[in-house]
Amino acid sequence: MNRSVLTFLILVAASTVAAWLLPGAMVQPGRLLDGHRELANRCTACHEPLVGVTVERCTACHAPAEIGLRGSKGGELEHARPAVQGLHQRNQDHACMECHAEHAGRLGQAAAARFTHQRLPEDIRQDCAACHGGQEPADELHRKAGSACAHCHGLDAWTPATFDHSTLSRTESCQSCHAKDRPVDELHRNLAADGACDACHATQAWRPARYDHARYFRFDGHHPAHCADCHEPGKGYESYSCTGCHAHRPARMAAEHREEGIANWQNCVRCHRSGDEDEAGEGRGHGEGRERGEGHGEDDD
Amino acid sequence: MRRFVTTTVLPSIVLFLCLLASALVVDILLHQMGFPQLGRWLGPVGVALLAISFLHSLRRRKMMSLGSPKGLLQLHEVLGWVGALVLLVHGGIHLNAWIPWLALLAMVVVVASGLTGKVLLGEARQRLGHRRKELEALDLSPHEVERRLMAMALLTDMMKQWRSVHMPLTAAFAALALVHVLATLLLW
Repeated sequence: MNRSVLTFLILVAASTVAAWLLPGAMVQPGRLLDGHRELANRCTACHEPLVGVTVERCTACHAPAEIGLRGSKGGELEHARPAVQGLHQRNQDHACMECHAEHAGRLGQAAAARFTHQRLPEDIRQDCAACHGGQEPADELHRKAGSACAHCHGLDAWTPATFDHSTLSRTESCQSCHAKDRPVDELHRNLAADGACDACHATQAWRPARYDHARYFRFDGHHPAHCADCHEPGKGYESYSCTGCHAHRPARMAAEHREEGIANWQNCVRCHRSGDEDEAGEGRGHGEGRERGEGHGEDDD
Repeated sequence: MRRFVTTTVLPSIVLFLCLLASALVVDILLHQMGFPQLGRWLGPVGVALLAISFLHSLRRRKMMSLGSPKGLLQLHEVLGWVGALVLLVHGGIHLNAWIPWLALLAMVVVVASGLTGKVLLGEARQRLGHRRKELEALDLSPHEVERRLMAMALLTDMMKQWRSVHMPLTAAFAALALVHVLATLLLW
């Protein structure tokens, strides 16, 4: 007999016998999940030859009226889940394999892809803990959120999750939830512990962040923005110094400002909003500069 | 010799490595795109492609007369590679059961064997070409040149030896794949 034909016949016979004797090791498409592991070599307990896994085969052991309450052998479950029972009662027109797969691997992936929460009745869909009770993350954030999973998480996947900050009360600060998220880089380290994150960041996303430094001092060609040039590390950004670079003598600065009728000259950026020395003088009589001029006047009083 | 290595041996090695790498990339992409379950349905597709590629064997054994042997050999080479890629993605990198896994392993060996056959065929043709030039230099008639070349049976002998390995390997793959398919259909 032709060597190829002989090889073919011998291997077909050998592998058929092996599959017959040890189907779990020889042909199983993925290991059985724990609940059915004892059936690893009894394929026909669930699979009807040439037909597949039928609802009748499943319900022979798992009566829909008892799913979630009793095990397949009739014993009461330690943690009964009436919602799970209700779910199966109301989905009896669907085949079990539409959502369940007892083999890991491709079959499990296929079943998981078919399951959708949209199939659930509205009351169960809103009660995530009825099925997922005990799976809640134990971190501080989720402990505060309680059982309102749908507030942030969608029905299709746990991530991405969104949170509508506008639902929070005005008294809540960012730190109350995000204390651990505070960046430790140099820029953020100098901020006060209860710093107003919203001065730069929006609630929709951490990035992009925007800080309008020009509200206090406008950067220009004379002032490259290295924070530590003006703000001493560790003292917070409210504190700054111009004389670190501009070696002005206090007595002379006091005299020059007195000539202009300005007594409160120590807070430079009240009038000098940029590196342009003349800007303070020009602005003093007009618009914003006038307000600052008036400020001096008030201080003088 | 160097030309033979660069035009025949290297491309075959690259084709084989590309097969393994492509299977890995496609499987990763399917997982990342959230369609890993598609791999299951690539099984019948891969089997169909390989079955079509075997038209070459039928033609060579004169079990059909459709198509040119050369064209069907090229089809065999292309569909053999693509079919193997599809079945590698179908199997994924999982060791769930011995029979499908051994079938996959046998298939990879058959592809390697097929590519080796391609190299041997290239070498035999090259040697035949050299011999033809030598005979033509002897100022023999074209008929005599052909007769002497036939007598060498170089190409036939080399491919016969190669087939004695390639065909049993293919039979082993076919046997394991058949049992896997039957078990899947039986225990659907």
